[in-house]
Amino acid sequence: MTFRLARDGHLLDVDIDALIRDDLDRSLREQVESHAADCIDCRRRLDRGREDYRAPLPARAAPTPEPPRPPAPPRAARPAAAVRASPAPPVSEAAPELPPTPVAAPPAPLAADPEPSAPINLDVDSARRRQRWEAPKAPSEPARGRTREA
Amino acid sequence: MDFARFGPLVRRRIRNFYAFDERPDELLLEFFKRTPPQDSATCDSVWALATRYCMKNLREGRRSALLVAPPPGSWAEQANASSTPGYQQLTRSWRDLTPQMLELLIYAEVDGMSAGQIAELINEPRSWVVDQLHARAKQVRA
Ligand SMILES: [Zn+2]
Repeated sequence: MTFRLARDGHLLDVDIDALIRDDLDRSLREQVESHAADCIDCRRRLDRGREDYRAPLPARAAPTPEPPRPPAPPRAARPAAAVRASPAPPVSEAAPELPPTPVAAPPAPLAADPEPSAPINLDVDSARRRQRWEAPKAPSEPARGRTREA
Repeated sequence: MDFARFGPLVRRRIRNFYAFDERPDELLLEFFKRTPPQDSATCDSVWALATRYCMKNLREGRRSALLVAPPPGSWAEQANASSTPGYQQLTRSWRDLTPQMLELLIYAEVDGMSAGQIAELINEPRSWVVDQLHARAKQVRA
């Protein structure tokens, strides 16, 4: 986006974020800052936005998508020779009694989600067209031919 | 998507929608889990993605504070937009809107974007956005 004020001349919400994140080029930043300097309401929103940015983000779950695996039987419990000789461990082995390897449960689907694995579409353009034209045959058809009358 | 980089921005959008939700952070984490990494992400593109993500939750039944009153700290709150026809349409009849119209109205009535800014954000011709918003306004007045 190139012009960064809301239609009534105050700051856009996304301007505020861009300013805090230092994502604006210099002239835009100056525009936004000079408005905030003169406008007490926008300054207040900017301060509020800064607070949002200072608040710590929640801890993310471990990056692995799979659930944790059951602990491997301790190596020391197994005689080294047996490991080398037989690929299948003897049943009488002194390994801890683990239940039969629980098959890793698939990640729980998100509640009430009709398309649980559908990623969020990053292609703003084609997502929009899809919504507009509802073209089920060629969902990712770029449809670039449409004339831009703007 | 870079969580550390865009997390606060997405959280701000989620708070706009779900300020009174018990677990807004859950939504935040889910967004990043489901959004593939993107090199060219900008504030604007992430804002649009986060808006769609929030709308999706809305359509699936999550109650949104945004449909009751302008979100704290938003342009709409500052502009006292709750009494405008556009905002009232959002709160009263958002279920009757197409997802696309709902998105346009959120940018226009909650974020205060002009038609040109919306067009740029969603990568559509400005004339199309203007037509949509005009048609909608006419319908409201009728
Ligand atoms: Zn202002």
